[in-house]
Amino acid sequence: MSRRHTARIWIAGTVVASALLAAAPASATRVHLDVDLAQPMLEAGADRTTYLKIGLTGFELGTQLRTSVNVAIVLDRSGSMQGEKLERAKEAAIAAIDRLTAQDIVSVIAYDHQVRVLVPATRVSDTEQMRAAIRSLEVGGNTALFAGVSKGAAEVRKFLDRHRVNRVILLSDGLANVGPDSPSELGSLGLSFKKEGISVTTIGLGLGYHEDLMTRLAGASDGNHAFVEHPRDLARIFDNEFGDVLSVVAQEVVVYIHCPPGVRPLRVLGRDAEIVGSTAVVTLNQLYADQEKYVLLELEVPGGRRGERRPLADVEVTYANMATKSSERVTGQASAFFTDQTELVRRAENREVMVAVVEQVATERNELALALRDQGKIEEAQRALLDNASYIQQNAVDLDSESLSKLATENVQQSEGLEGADWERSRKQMRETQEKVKQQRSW
Amino acid sequence: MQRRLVIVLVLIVVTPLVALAWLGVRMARSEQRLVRQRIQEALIARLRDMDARIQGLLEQRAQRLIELTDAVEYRAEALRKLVRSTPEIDQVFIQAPDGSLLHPAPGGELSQAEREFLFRARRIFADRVLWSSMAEEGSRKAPNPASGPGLGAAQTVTRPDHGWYAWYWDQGLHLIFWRQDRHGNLIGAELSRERLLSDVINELPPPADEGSPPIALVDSRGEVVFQLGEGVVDLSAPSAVELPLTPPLGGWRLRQEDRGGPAIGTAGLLAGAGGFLAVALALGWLGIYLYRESTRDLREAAQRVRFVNQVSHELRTPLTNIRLYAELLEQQLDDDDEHAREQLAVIVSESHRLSRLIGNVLAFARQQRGRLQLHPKMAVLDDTAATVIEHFRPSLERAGVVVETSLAAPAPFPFDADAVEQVLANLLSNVEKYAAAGGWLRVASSQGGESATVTVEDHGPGIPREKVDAIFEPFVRLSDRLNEGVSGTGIGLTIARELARLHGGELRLVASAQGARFELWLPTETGRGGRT
Repeated sequence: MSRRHTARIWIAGTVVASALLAAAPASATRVHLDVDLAQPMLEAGADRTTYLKIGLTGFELGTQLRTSVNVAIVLDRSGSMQGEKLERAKEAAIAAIDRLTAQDIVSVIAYDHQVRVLVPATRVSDTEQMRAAIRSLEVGGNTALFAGVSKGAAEVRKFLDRHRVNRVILLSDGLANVGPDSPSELGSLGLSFKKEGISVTTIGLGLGYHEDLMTRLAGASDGNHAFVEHPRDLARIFDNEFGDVLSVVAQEVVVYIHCPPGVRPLRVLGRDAEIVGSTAVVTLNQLYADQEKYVLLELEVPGGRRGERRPLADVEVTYANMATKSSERVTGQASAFFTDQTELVRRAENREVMVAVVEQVATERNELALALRDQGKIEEAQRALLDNASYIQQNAVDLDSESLSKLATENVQQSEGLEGADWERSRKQMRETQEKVKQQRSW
Repeated sequence: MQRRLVIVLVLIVVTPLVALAWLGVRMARSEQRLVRQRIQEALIARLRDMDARIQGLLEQRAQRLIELTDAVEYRAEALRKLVRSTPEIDQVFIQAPDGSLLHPAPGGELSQAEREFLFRARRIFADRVLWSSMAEEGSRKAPNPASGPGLGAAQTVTRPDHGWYAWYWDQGLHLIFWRQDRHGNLIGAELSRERLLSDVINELPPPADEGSPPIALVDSRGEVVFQLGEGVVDLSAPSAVELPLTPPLGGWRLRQEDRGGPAIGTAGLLAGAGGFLAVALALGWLGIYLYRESTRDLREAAQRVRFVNQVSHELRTPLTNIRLYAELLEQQLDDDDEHAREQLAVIVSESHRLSRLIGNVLAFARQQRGRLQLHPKMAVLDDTAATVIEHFRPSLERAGVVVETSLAAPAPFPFDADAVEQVLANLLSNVEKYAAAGGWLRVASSQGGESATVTVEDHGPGIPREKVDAIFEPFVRLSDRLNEGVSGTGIGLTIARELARLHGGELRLVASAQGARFELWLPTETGRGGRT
């Protein structure tokens, strides 16, 4: 299917994108850039909007040495962690540390109403002492989440290094009740961390945590977010997260999108972006080996003449390559061809970009449904989710996408969990899925 | 006398104890106040230290922002990049001296965040708030430019070239940093409130000790944003040490609940009680010791009397026999045998003396047991007095005492002649023993309608005024000096007064120009009371 599509585009003679490598001897250790339009062929005449997808794929690690990591594990030890939760969290943290080696740095912080550094940032050598410190952890009082994350970041900052993966992994099962506790405040803190290359991955455990706060913190700092209902799944989630952390191949990723006069970038779907006039800037903290992260930009394109070919965007991506320890730059370009044949426009549509567009639009609609539910409008929320599901399902069929089918099913399921005891869980699942789509989390 | 002694001794013991207890409580209280004050001072000092750390953090931040804004090009793209890459700030701006904004330029192309910033900061730029803040700061520092915070210390103008502005909106206190470049523009940055708070939290030291109440950082909304130390922060607790942070963070404050000093613990209480008990024991022991010391004479004398009492009973029968046969012998002696008669008179006189002593001892013993009784019979007082005088005359004259008598109580009335004889004998015996040096004795009697009186006076050394009350107490003798070479039991006057009082009369010492003058007063008709 994909091949057929590409062939058609090629027949149409439209240059969709080209990845230009600046003075690159080999592409094996370079980030791969794809710049694609949802509609490479546009109907001539009126102004229209289309989507530009900038896909960034981390190179394979292969047999090369992986990037060193600098991780702070921040554990909630509030009263509600009593029992299996805390035990599983300890096990998961210990198992995660066991995956690290002497090139890595780790710290362990525990918080209740105050913060304690169990293991100050140090090279991973004497893991027995670290294990003992983690095992000695006992439950305490309240939840000073803000201070816990702050202290985690401070420990990471002791060895802050652009050639290391700098990350805070935050586990919480409860509502922050000491210190700032609003999603916007934690989002602001996350953004500040992102600026210095520290991401915060948030893991919400059980049904008592504040999912909006946790997703905002992760989203703003470009970390992952996961909802773990059962403590027994913690080890798996930590494993996944460390899989990501240990496979970072590029950091300080800045995507610049410059549009020619007349073309207007409207918004970036799912990610924070700075759009000024005809320029959009999106920053990502890292790229993982073999994973694609994308930036999806909605563009307003003025009407063109039939047969005209017009460049729509110049894309420039700078990043720090973790393998070569050098700053690199890749560029790409997107242009559209104007035609008066509607059928051509439809057939030239880029399936992969459209899947991404549907994913992101569906996520926005999912967020709206959640907002309706929060206002107590359960029936409206249900209708919105079902509408969303049918929108996704229609596109899943048209685009032959399994991932969209799955997303449609999830929306249907969510529509059934808006009431009663299920709602707590449903809401957390919704937030997790939204965040996962926005961040393109791979697990 | 005994009861008074006991009261005095109890007072001696109890008074210092009460005083000690009072002092102890007072000292404990003032100690506690002092400890409390010390603790408060220590708390405040700790909060000040924290404030200083936070101040240091702000100074570092100012320094960094000076460097960053120094290095940045005044191009929108460069300024935006600065915001993108500086974790501490949310926005930057440049305001020209005429008040116009060079960045973010209101007319130009702006990002969403810049538009929001211009909206929320519109008053600051429209009213040139930062310029007035700069002028204010300048005038505040003008009197002593050298004392300003160290950053711009080298400057010669009084107007500072950088500073902070505390800006309140939405979630409370936000900080704006500004500095003036060499063209007079203000370049500044809006600090990320959350990042500042996060850094402040990391700047504060770990709690000093586990036991003390937690230290809370309270923001301008009155919410606890951070706490150091265990326990629940109670903002409504009445007693707390509070310290507002130094401006520009004056809207935030540090607070530590003051739960008072460690109360004087059980150990301290035990030690205090132990000390008190020890003092009480010592004083009690001292009291008992003093009591025993002061009553030892009494006890010893009483023992002596008990002994003499027992012995006296044994002595009375042989003594009576001695007197009987001596008197028989006196009658049988030839009148011309003067020498033998004189010697026999001594024997009789001495045996009288001895029986009087024994009589005293036995009377005292009876009085002690409450069994002293009188057997009054009609008699003439002068007869009794004359008998006694005649008994004593030989020995008194031997001692060189001139005896004068003036007896004028011839009417009979009921009294116990033996008892009165004993009283008078005791008085004359005292004269013989203590006042013989005066060389003169006068015994006079008189009788009125209701009473009769016998006075015995001498020209001896007399009785010192302060001892007047004491001489009637048992076992009191005036002094060792006076006693020299004179024996006595010390109960003669006691018995004499007791016998007088049993008659319903009195024996008293009356004032006289020279020597001692005792007066025995006895009722003759009515008013007769007395103990039986």
